[in-house]
Amino acid sequence: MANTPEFESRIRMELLNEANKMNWPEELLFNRILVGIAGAKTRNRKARYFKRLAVAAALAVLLCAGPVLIFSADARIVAAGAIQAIETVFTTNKSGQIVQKPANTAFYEPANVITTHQSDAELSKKMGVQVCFPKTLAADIAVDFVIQYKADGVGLTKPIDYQSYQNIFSQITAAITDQHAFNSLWQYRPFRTVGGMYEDQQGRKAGFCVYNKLIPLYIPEGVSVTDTVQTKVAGYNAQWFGISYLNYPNDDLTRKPTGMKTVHVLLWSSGNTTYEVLAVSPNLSMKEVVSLADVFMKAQG
Amino acid sequence: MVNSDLIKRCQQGDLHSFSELYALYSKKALATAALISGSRGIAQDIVQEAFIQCFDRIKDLHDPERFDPWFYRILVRTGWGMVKKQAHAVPVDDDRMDTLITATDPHSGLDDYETSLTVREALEKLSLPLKTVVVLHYFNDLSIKDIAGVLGCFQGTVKSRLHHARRELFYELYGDFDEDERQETGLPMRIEKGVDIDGKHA
Repeated sequence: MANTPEFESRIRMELLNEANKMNWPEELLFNRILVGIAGAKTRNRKARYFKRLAVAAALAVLLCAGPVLIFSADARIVAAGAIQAIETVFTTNKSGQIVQKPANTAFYEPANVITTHQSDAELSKKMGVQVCFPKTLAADIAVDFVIQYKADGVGLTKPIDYQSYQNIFSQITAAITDQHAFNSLWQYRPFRTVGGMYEDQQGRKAGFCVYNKLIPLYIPEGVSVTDTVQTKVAGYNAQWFGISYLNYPNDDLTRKPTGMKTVHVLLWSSGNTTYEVLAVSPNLSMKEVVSLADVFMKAQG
Repeated sequence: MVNSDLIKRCQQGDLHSFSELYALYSKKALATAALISGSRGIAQDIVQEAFIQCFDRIKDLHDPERFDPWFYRILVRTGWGMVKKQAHAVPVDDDRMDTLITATDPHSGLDDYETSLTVREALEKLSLPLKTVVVLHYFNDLSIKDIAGVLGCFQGTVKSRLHHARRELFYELYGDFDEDERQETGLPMRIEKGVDIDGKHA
C-alpha cells in the first residue's frame, strides 16, 4: 500500500537526503533580502514614500560630500548581482558635463534607511538626541500635515567605492538596529538619521530628517545649487536650497542620465544636530516649509 | 518551533533578530522551494521574495506560535506564482547538473544516485498542488491542519491530495519493480500502468 510506514519513511528520508545535498549562497541571499527590505522592490505605497525619504536622507549628504549613491540605485545593482560587472558609472565633471568614471574610482557616501515602528523615545535613545515626530504639524499658514510613517537609518561620511559598499552593505543595514554593528563601522565615520514623512489633505508631502552629527556644507560635483535663500527656523539660521542633480533611469548610476532633477531642501542645525526638510511636493513654498519646520522644532523641546 | 520572543522582536523591526530568524529558516525554506519548483535558481528567488514579504508583514502575525504555517503560506504562494511564470521559459537544468556532479563523487554510491534520481523524477511528475502537499508533509513535517492553513483549503482536500500524491509516487517508484525486488521491499503487489496500487483497474 502506498501509505505503508516503510513507503512513507522512504519518501521522508529521500527528500531529506536530497535537501542535504544542496549548497546555498545563504549570506549573499541574505544581503539581497536586506536590499529588498530596504526598498529596492518598491511595490507598495509606503515603500515608494520610503524611497523618497531615502532620497531625503541622501540629499543632506549631497550637501556635504561627494556624489551620493542613492540607496535605491545601489540596491538594484546589488539585487541584480551585477556589482562585479560594473565598470563605469555616470556623474558630472566640474563643468557640469555628464562623464563616465571607473566604478572603482567613483566614490559614494551611502545612507541605508528603513521604515520603523519604534517610538520617539526609542529613537531618541538610539540617536543620543531628543527627537519627536508629532502626529500632526499644524502650521499657521497651512492645513495640518499628518505623519505617514517614520524611518531609521545609518549613513557614512567617508566615501567608499561600489565593491566596498557591497562588502559592508549588510553591516550598514544591521547597524540601523544594532549599536555593536554601528560601532564596527567607525572607520567610515557613520552617523544615524531618523525621519518622518508628513502629508496634507491635498497629498503634498514633506520629509523631516534629523541627523546626530553636524553636517558641513559642501557642494559636490554632479550636484548644482539652482537657488539659495537665507532664512530662520525657530531662531536658528537656516538655508533654503534648490538642488539640481542627475536623473538616472531607474536610479541606476550605471545608465546614462536622462536629465536633471530639482528639489528644494531646508537645512539648519542646533547644537550637534542637523535638521533637514525635503519638499517632496514641488508645490510646497519656502514659506510653508519654514512654517512647518518652526512647529517641528517647537515639538523637539 | 521558533522562539516567540524572536518573532516579537522581528515584529518591532529588529533586523538583528530577523537575521537570526533567517539563519533558522533559510536552509529549510530553500530546500522546500527547490523541491517544489524543481530548480535551485528559482528557489533562491522564491526564498528571497518570501523573506522580504515576511519582514514586511510579520507585524500582522497575531500569534507568534503560528509562525511556521504563516511563513510557509507566504513561501508556497510566492513559489507557485514564480513557477507558473517560469512555465513557458526555457529551463536551465542546474539541478540535474548538480546531481550528476554529486553522482561522480567517489564518496557517493551509485545506488544512492539512482534512488535519489528516481525520487526526484517521481516528485517532478506530480502536479504542483500534489508536489507541494508531499513536500510540506514529509519534508517540513507539517500536520494536515497546518497544510490546510498554508494552502487555504479544507483538511479533506489536503488528505485527498496526499492520498493521490502517494499513489502516483508509489507507481513511479515501484511500478517497474520485478517480483523479487517487490518482495525485498515488503510491498504487497506489483503495480502496472492502468492498475491502481491495490491491483484494481483504474
